[in-house]
Amino acid sequence: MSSRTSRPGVRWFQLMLLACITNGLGAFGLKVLAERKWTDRYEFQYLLMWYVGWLILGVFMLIRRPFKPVRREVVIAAAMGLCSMAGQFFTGLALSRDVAGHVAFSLSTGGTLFIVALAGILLFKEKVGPYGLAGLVLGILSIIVLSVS
Amino acid sequence: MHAGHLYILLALASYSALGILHKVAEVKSCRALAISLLMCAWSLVFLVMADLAMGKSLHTPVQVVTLALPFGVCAGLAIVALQTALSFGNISTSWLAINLSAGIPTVLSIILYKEAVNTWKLLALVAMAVSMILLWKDGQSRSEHE
Repeated sequence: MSSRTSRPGVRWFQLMLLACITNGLGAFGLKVLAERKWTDRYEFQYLLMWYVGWLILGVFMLIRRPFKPVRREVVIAAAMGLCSMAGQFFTGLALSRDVAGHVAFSLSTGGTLFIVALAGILLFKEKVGPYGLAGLVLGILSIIVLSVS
Repeated sequence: MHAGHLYILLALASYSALGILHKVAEVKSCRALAISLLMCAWSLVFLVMADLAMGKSLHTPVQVVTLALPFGVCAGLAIVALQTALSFGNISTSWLAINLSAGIPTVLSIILYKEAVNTWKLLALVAMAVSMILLWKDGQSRSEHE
């Protein structure tokens, strides 16, 4: 690793760029499913196989670098899985109760970003510089506008 | 309160808790691969339970399997990268960066499926790109201070 990439802020950005691109690609599959008119028939099966793909990657990495999970990892990961499923479930319920998609997605995404940023600063005492703050405000606004447009 | 709005608040609470738990995992020195793998395994358990409770079929056509697997691999990679990145940066900006990924399916839909682009959508995509540049600048300035 070069001295430039070993700097924490630069390393963070490289990893987040990878996370951003792969997360976006991961979500695009649902669009392909919808374009093929399979959502009504196979959405659950698609999600199941989507998680299996994720699991295969995890198992492949586990074989390369074996580890034994500890209790706190099992508990925190279970809570994360539950939160992820609950988020999707409640968004689906809201949409089925005549809440418009642009309202549901802009409120849940924009609101979540705001709450997590606030928690980072207040609970975890994170320091966000002027560029970070400007990025946060612009990012939250852009996601809300994208949900509404 | 309208039931739909209550569900939105519950979704908001769930997703916010998820973001905060990513940071809790980092604070508690949980390993990124362990978190990604276990989160996926638990989600699979919850999904299968929900499928069975709703009487849904688990039979999946091969075309759906071949479509879903690579996208699932991408999602798994995203969680490993996010969880690893948290040891180098803030949850506040990391959570934003991962949510900015909403722009990727939007751009791909425009390119591959010729989805209509209006001015607002274009503005949002440009703002997302600028936001990522600001986060990169933030990362650089943090490096210079450390």
